[in-house]
Amino acid sequence: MTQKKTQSYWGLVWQQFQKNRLSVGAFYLVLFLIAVATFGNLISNNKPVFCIYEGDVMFPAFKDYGVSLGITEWQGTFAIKDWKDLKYDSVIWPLVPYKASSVDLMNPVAAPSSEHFLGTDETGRDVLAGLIEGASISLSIGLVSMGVALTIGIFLGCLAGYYGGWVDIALSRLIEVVITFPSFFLIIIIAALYESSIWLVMLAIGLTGWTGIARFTRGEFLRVRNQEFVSAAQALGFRDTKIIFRHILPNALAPVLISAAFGIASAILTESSLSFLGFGVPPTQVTWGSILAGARGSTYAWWLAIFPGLMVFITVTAYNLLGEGIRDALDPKLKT
Amino acid sequence: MMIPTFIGTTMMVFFILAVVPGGPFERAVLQLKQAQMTSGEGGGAGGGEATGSTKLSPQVLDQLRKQYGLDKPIFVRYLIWLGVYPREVKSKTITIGKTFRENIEYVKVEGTTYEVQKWIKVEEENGNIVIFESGLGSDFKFSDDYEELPPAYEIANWYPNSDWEIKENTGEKVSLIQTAFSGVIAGDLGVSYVYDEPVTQLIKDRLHISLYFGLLGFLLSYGICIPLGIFKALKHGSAFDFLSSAIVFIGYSVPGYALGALLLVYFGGGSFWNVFPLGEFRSPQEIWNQMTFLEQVWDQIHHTFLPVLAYMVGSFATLTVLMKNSLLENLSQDYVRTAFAKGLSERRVIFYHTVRNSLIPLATGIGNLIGIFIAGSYLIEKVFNIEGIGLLSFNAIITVDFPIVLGFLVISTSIRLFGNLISDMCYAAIDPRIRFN
Amino acid sequence: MLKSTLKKTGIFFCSSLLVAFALTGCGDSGSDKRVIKKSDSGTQASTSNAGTDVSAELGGAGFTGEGWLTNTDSKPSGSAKAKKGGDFTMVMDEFPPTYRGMGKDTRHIILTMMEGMMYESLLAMDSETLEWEPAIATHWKISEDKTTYWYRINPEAKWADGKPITAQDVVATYNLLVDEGIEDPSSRGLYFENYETPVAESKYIVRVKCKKENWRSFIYFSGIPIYPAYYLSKIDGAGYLTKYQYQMMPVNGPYELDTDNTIKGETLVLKRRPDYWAANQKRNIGLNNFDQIRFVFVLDDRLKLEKFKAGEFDLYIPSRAQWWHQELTPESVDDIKRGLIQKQKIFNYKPLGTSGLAFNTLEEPFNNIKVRRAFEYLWNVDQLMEKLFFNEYERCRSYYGGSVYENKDNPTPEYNPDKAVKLLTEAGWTKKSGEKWLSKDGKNFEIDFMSDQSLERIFTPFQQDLEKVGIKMNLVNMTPQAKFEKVMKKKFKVSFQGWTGLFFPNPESSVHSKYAEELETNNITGMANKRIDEICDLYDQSYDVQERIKLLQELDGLATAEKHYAWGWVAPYGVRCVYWNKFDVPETGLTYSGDWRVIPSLWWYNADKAKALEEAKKDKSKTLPIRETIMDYWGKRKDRMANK
Repeated sequence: MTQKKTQSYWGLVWQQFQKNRLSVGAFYLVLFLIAVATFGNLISNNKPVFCIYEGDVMFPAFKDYGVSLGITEWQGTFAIKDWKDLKYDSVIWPLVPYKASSVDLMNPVAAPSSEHFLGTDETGRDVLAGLIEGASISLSIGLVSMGVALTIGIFLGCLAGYYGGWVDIALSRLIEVVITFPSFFLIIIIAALYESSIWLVMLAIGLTGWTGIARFTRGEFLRVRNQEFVSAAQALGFRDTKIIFRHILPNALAPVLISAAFGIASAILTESSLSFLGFGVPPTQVTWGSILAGARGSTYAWWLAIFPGLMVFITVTAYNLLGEGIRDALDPKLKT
Repeated sequence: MMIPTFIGTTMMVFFILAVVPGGPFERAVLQLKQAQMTSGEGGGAGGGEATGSTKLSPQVLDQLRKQYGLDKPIFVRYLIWLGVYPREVKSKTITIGKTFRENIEYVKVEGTTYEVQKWIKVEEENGNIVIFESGLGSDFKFSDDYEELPPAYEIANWYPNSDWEIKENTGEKVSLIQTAFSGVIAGDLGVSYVYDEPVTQLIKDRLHISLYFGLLGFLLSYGICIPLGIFKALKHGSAFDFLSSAIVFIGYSVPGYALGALLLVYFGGGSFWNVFPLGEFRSPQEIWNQMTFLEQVWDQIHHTFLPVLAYMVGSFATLTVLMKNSLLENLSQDYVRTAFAKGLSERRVIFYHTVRNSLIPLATGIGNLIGIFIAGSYLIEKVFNIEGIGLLSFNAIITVDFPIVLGFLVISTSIRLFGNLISDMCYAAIDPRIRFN
Repeated sequence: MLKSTLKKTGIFFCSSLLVAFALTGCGDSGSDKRVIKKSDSGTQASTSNAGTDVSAELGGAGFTGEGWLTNTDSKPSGSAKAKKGGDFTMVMDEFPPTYRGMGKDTRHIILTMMEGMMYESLLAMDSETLEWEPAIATHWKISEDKTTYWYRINPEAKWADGKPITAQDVVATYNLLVDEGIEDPSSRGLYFENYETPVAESKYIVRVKCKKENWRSFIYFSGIPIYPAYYLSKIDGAGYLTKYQYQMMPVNGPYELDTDNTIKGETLVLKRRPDYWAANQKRNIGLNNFDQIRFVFVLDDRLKLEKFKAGEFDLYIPSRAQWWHQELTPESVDDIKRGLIQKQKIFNYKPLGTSGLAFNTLEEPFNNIKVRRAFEYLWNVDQLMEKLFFNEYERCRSYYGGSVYENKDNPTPEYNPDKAVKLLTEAGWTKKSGEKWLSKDGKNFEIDFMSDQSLERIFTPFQQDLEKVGIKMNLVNMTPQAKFEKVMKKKFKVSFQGWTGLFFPNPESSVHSKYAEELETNNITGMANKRIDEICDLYDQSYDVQERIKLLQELDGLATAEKHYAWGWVAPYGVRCVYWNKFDVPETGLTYSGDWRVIPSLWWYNADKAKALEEAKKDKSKTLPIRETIMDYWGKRKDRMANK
């Protein structure tokens, strides 16, 4: 490094990260997917993005966010009427003028066309709209289940690593038990036998996926806890919680981040597997896996297999590459 | 370590299964009514029956509950399943003064099953219920060692019996039971609700299929990935390295069963190319038995190709990349430089010293992978309709056949633990620094 | 444990003494527990005088049948043109867990079918007139008070091993059915609660007394498949379960299990018995033609279709209208275009059954008939039938669709959201200004709907139609068991439910008010109507078929008007199938009221066609004659068209 300016740790990491072009690409791809997930309502909606109706200027697709959050509501005719039947003075429709869940029985299993860019499934739902909605579902599955896993993993890892002794022994045993567990089998059991709910799936994935994180955290804590700054903090009489969260945890975050990226990838994969099998999410919820499952019923409909399959693949690859990139960036051995 | 892990996992699943809505009992009742209730698109398209079933009385339902062991608290059920609490193996309600045949053993001779039996008689003597038995006989003559058991009134000698216990005595009738410790510890995984056969038998019948695919996939993965990884490391940065990395990575993100489902749709006849059979382990036995040896080999390969591809796809990426990275790392180590400096040939340095050390991380994964290949492939077995233990247990989840689900759990946990042992051994074999006492 | 030691050493029963000792584990050592018979065993010999002929009065040779009932003029259901020979392969879902016909886990279609082909019952039923005809019994008699039945067994009736069928066999079969050891409490409940133990009055005459009067009891008893007593006497219920799980006792019907070709878990093969005792009876003309009937097993519906196309079995019954219309067409399947695969849709008078949305009328909101009617108006079944089912099905509008019991005056439900909204408003469900959902007393109209993979595509459109008027219906996927539990415990609001059609419906169990609030009954909707209760009671006491039909038609009208069901659709034909072109189909296609299960006994193999088929498979230029798809010998289709 020729640069003389002092660099923060994360700045250095970012610089390292940028060296791996593939990972950078993956990073932008992930950002793109997040954007799609966030602005899905504007790209694919059965309501206009912008319209002038009876003199009123409206942004119905934007308002949809408010409605789904419960902040605002559709009034009068707008709540009942199909927006496509209204007569507008001026209107801009989204790129995909369908909602993922809108059934069109006149058009089941239609091949890609100018009307439905990527075709429709067996109840006439637009595949592209489904892919867009699937993006936000898979993202939230990844984030929530990893959130659960992170919470449990970091908490138990902290306890084991910081206190050591019998706490460490007990928790390490617990981790080993959970690792030996055939977790996907358990997830299938839960998803297949209980009523379908997306939250249950997230919870199940989270509850079985925390072991790696706990191990990393524990390892970092064991490494760090005997260092001087920790002893100093203890000598100063700081509370344990403060030492753990303020002083040690930030140091242990880096490896946890890596396993979180991989974790998101595997959570997305798990969820699409479940949907493919017909378990997990409620029936009307469109996900990549559920579109894929439709391909088994109508084998000639290649568009039901290729597009969602591609989405799962791209997304999972992106998260994996991202994880890989972060790992390389953090690995001091490869630092130049 | 094994025991707490084992108890932890099984107990957890046992309790989850115990509280699911719609368990085996509902399945049984549903089956009794299935003739009438239909679902799906078929709607009312079912067949015509002569008469409908009548209402199931509360007694009938209680009887059924008892059959599924639901009359006991869940913790007791778990202990019975483990085999540390006695299980009711036989029961019989009989009028005092009457006799019945107790079946002692079932003997199979040339495809026919015979029963070894004895008569049991319940009598009242001075206000006490006494149980007698006759000697052993068989239902039909099959061996010189047993004579055919004659009717009870022809029996002259009765002996006291202590196998049966009296559970309940209503004055006119008595309920007799026999109990035994029979659970996982004794190798008894219970009897499947759906197949009506011991779970151990069901698993035994299918294990070789799962082993065949699992081990084949496993060996092929290692057999291809290690050389590929070495080659990639040596050609690091080349076009070949990049291209193979890309392919390997694609494989990593595609779940094996999904790939399998696609392969099956597009290559398994039907709407697209008819190149491979529609799954299954091999041709049906009838056809199989008529084949020549070469045809059999071909048939097996023909049936194996697609599933093994699906089996391997996931682990392929990890192994190749692991091998490559590990070798790269080793090549930059000091000892390699020393070896070269000593004037050893490049071939010897790479293949004798470096590769050997690079195999260590792969060896640690062996155990885990064996577990995944053999017991973690329920989805691939499902997609290809391969009658292995994975498909058995996957279907068992859907049909709420809990003895199989739990049995599979026991088997797969054991395989995993066994796999860990293998890992350690491989580790020791490759790394001279590690020695077990 | 004993078993394993014995197997390990490979020596079976070195000495009975040792074994007996080891088994009993009895304390008093050295006691030699052999089977020791009484010396005077001969005196108590069985009373049945086998070998000597029974007198005519007791049902033996020369029995006149005076004072007894019989039926000699029923029409045979088979075709006189039928030829014996060949084989037939059909596909079923899963290999059965047992070959038994009785005891636990025997509620499988395949087992009922097998049992029907292998074991005869006392009487058989004419498929068209539903009148009794002789099977094992030639004559029967019912006492004045209708509670005692007699059957006279045909002295010519024989078991597969040549032994005659006797009254003892009937007694022994009954005893097995009520044995607790067979772990089938519902069968025990049925037979134990309805009958006393039958009595063999002679070798050929058996009598059974009912515990209470009900015309149905005669149907149940006459239809019990009879097993051989000299096998049953050697075992109890528990022994039967184990020993006969994959083993057969001698049969008495036209087919038997082909143990050489049956492979457990893969293929089940039945072979025709050349020495079947009734083979030449009039009722069997043109029936039981195939030498071999093979069953193969494929669970996945889609896979079944692919395997059929690959030629792995002869007959396939597509479960989805879409496949019938879009995939099994001459355009997409060359073998259909060239006539190698034939398509056949056969109409007959099979009771069709019903399907529809069942409402739980014990709870809000469906305790109000207006809400139930509104739902009927909101469910666009016609659209479903057209778009999703390609007009393969018909609207159903009765509890007893397609049978004589159907009330022809029942209205056909219509789709009309405006009327629905009006009804909902009258019921108090209104939209507050600006609200999306209907509400009443501050509660939104929101219900859960129990769904699964097969229902999802059918009910998503309905969900959206409901949303438009402000009803929130959440589709919740669950297993069939879980759904069933909720329905049985009446923990549901609305559920899609189908019921198979019955020749002799049992209205009491599904609509009588005494079960309205009880759990675990077929009265899932909570039907409680005084007149319906009265009809149920009258129906159960009536021996007059015509009167029963009238009663049920009235009941159908009343119950349908209560709107406990919003009727769905029903398949109007007897069967819709595709098959490889090597069979001859009788002009009837199916029997008057049979379903696909009669095909293996009714159709026959045509060697010439089979040969032509093989050639056409090799030579892609050849075509075979294509049969008319629709068969309507019985005039059912015309009948229904006229009714519309």
